[in-house]
Amino acid sequence: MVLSVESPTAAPGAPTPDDERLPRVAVLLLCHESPAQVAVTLRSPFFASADLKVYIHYDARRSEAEREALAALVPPEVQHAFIAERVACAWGDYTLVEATHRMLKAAIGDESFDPDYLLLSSASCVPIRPLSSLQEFLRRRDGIDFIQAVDVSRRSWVKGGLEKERYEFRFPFNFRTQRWAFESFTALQRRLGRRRQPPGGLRIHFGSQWFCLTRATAGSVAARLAEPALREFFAASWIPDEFAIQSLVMAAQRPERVAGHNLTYYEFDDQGRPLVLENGHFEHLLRQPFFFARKLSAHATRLADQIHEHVASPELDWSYFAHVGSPSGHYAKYLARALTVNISRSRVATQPEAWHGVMGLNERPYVLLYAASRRLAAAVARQMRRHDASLPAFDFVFDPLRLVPAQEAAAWRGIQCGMRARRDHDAAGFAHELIHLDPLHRTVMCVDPATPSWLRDFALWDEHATLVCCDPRGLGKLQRAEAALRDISAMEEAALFEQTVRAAGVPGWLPQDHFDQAQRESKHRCRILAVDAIAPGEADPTLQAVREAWQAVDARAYFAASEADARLRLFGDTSE
Amino acid sequence: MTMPARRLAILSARRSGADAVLRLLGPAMGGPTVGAQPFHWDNAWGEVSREFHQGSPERARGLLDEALGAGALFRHCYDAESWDFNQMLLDALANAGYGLLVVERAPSVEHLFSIIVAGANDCSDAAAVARLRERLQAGEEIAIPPAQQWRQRVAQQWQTHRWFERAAGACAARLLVCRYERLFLRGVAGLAAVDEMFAFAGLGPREAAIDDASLLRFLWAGQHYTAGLAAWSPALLALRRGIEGELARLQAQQPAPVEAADAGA
Repeated sequence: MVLSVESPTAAPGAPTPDDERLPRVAVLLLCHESPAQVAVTLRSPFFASADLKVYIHYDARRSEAEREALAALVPPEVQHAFIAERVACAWGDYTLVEATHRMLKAAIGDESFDPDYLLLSSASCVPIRPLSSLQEFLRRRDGIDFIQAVDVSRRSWVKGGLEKERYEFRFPFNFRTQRWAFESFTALQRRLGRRRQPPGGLRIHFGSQWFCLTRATAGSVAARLAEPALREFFAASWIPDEFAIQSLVMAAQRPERVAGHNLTYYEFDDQGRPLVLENGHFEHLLRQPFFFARKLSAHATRLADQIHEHVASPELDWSYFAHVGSPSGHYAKYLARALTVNISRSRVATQPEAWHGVMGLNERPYVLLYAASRRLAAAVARQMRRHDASLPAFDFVFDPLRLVPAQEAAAWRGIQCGMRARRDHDAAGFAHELIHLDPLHRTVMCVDPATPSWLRDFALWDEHATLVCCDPRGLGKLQRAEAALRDISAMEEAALFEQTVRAAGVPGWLPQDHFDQAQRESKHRCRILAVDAIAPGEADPTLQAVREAWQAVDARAYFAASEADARLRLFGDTSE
Repeated sequence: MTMPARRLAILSARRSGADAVLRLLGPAMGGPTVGAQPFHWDNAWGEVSREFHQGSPERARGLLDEALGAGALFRHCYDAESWDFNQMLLDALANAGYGLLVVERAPSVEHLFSIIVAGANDCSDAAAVARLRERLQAGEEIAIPPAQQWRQRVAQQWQTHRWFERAAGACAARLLVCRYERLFLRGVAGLAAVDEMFAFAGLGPREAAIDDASLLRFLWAGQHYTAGLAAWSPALLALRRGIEGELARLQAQQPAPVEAADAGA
């Protein structure tokens, strides 16, 4: 329970000399997303204040029409200004620094607003505290610059790959589009031993690009970025947004007045993937002593609503001020704690869902494909990948005998065939990882209804799961049994093979009817639907993609033409 | 060459961060010290207060003059003593050549809430406040004084603050008023405030005793955020609102006090 008050900063009886004034904040917003996505961020009550003005740099890769659409979507209560001369931003090059520089100049030169602090954020960052809390914090730390800045001559900041080379070498080629030239030219420079020195003996500091700077420091940085020598130096570097402004801040400010951290919460896992915030993360987020967080899943609408609600009312408890900049604990620890809680409860037999593990915390929806024919389900997943390579559509990643992320590749979206041990060690953790893999799209996985697996048993009782049956309508029992037997190895899965054959010959359910039986007997909490029940105008883009992929696959081809044909193939006769 | 430190007394209301000032200046001054609250009856100069309240004020003054003779550094909470006692102390300090370093924290909801809740639950440091927060978050109740009692406390603090402002301003002793907000809640402005204290105390450059980075950490580590406890308990939130209303009423009744001279402002 957190109670709010009308105005925690208004203290009757307190004097109000000039230094009682709360600082004005200029938010420099780097935007690359669609107008609608940027507008969602700007709808936060955080931005609706006379003490705040947003300076928007909208990526020049977005059209003028989109910029105009965004301008129309910015809430009228948000003070804002668009940067007129836009830069086409590309990861790794100087354009991100250039865009930031333009926003800095615009905010500093804006006499109508006169900010005290300038804060760099992006449309992927969401304010998680009320503006009044940020203002009070900045007032209590007046004169301090908030930016991560690590002197790379003393310790390393980059976990792997190039570090000093990023500014010592020249990088005329694009890392993504000209990879071979990029690597070759870097190797050549290393062989030749030609290394550049920063102009004027500038000491290079690395850090995250997000910052909150005092006006004085921001002014100094903006002026220095205009110096031709520095500009040329940074422009020829690689990923200068991780050291250009950081180095200039450290050159302009005394070290004890640089906090060494920024005000934005983010987490990366061991593989360098960012934590994507989902619906279940609200409490975790509020424990973080930061004012912004990135990144919010596009599906996390409830989380967004909760954050907006929290931001709308003034906070009373500012005890987190004492810890700003230090995450309350690694996300992995958070997950580990959640697991421990469940396990300890299971010991006293009060928590029958202990085996749910971290999936007990999951609130993100996901889709499972199943069919009597495993190959059919896999074909639908493959078709989805073919249609849109960005879709996280997996094959049978929970098959007890093997882990197949995608038929056509040994690895897909970072999931490898060799991850079986990891999966079997912590199936719930592995499922959680898969389901949170993509911030924009729901994860799709194939599951075999006939084979007991952690995913099969969990999903049936998980309200966040949608099970889509890919079998065409009108199939007989023998057609399904015959199709299933085509994919079952009589050697490795002898028991299932026998069960299927036996079930095909007698009345009752097939092992492949596991989900249909559960549906018939109402023994499930997940949503189960037939693929052809997905409407053409289905609002859910993932289900829409499943439907389109299924339509592109000749599902009938995976089954015998008729029950009689199936009987012939199964038993060698056509008699009833 | 180090300058000789002057005699110094730190005066403030309770929960104004003056203990931190004492910890900051004490080592730098190097002379004798009797610490915080020396007039508490169990402490070094408790006999002065006991004699003042139970015996003869004249004898108490004699004891006080004798005690101050050594020039020891100390910190005194003026709102823990009677006005008469405080007046005697101010006179004696002026007579003994002491400088008065007043850490002024204006009556505010945060300050009064902190005094009332911390007093009722016997917690005076950040760790104790944190434990109180944990108890509230776990759904436990904590002690809240009756309405009559806290209203009386609010009125007392308000009146005592106003009285002390006038009395300290009229005192013949050298005076430096340092506002709590400037010292602890206005970022790097706290550095300049401490510089002025060092100069007032006759100490050398402050940087020689403590560098900027350490000083900033020190100044910001003392925040207890007691008022934030109200976020976790409807009863405490009601108390906070009650204090707010009471303070507004007192403020409306009397014009705001003239700001004491703030050499650093």
